[in-house]
Amino acid sequence: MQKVADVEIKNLVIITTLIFFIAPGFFVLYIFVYNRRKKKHIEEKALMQLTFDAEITKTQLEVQEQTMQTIGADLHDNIGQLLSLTSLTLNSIELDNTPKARQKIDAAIDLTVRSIKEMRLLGKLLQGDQLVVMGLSEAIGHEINWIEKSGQHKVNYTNDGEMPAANSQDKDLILFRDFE
Amino acid sequence: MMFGYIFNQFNKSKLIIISGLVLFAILYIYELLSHGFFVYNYLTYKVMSILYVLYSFYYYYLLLNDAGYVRLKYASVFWWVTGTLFFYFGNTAVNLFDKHLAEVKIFGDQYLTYFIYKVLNITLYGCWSYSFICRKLLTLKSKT
Repeated sequence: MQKVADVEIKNLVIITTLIFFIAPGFFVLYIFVYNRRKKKHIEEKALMQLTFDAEITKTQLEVQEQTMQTIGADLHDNIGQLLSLTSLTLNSIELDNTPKARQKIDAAIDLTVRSIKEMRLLGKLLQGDQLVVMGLSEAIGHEINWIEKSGQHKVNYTNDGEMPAANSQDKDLILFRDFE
Repeated sequence: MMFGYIFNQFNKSKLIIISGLVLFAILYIYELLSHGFFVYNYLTYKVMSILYVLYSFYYYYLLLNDAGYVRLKYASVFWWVTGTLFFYFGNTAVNLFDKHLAEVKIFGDQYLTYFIYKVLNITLYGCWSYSFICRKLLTLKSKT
């Protein structure tokens, strides 16, 4: 009888010790698995950041390229024409005919003022990236002014509430690019 | 002290370490006064074992909550704590059946506790040895 009890106690002690030995083993295993997941998560985060930075750079380049294209087209089609017309007007002035000369000079002045106005608008477009620095709403406002300048469209722009990505220039730039 | 150094890396240590030390001191003095210097302080040892297990778990908790990634394979602190946890966790089982185990013998004259402690000691010193190897490798790496 005593022998059976001894064996039972022995088994019980061995099983309990095994359990107490295996339990921390599982804890350690869990820590390892969790740590591996943490590593994976950090790597994914870094990759996402890298992709995001690349996307931002690409967007900035696209914005710059488009701005340059618009400037080139505007200089050629609009301001260039205005200045050519100014030159023609000034060349056609007959100094003997004072009233007509006055009229042509006035026309040349008017053309020059218009050229200056166009140049100013173009200057604002040149600062396209900096427009976003002023705020997304402001940048959109300038873009709308540019559209309205053609005279073909009339745009009513109202801004209610907060912008979705406040205080984040990178996100603002992407939204601005989407808007463009 | 070692746990204090480990927890200091996470800046959350003082209260826990001091509480443990105070508990240890109270129990030690109590046992010393109750049965004198020449009897083993079993209660203090048992509580200390549980305390080390709790400290080890707390380290794991801090490690899991920490945002940074640690290469556990070469983390000396992790292996030191793991060795401690294995030893004192297994030790708690032996402590629980203290009275029964003192009489149990296997393989003739050998006590069962002898084998249990052998396994626990091998685990403890195995983990600690690996921990020191990791530490040495880390030191060599930082020197070069």
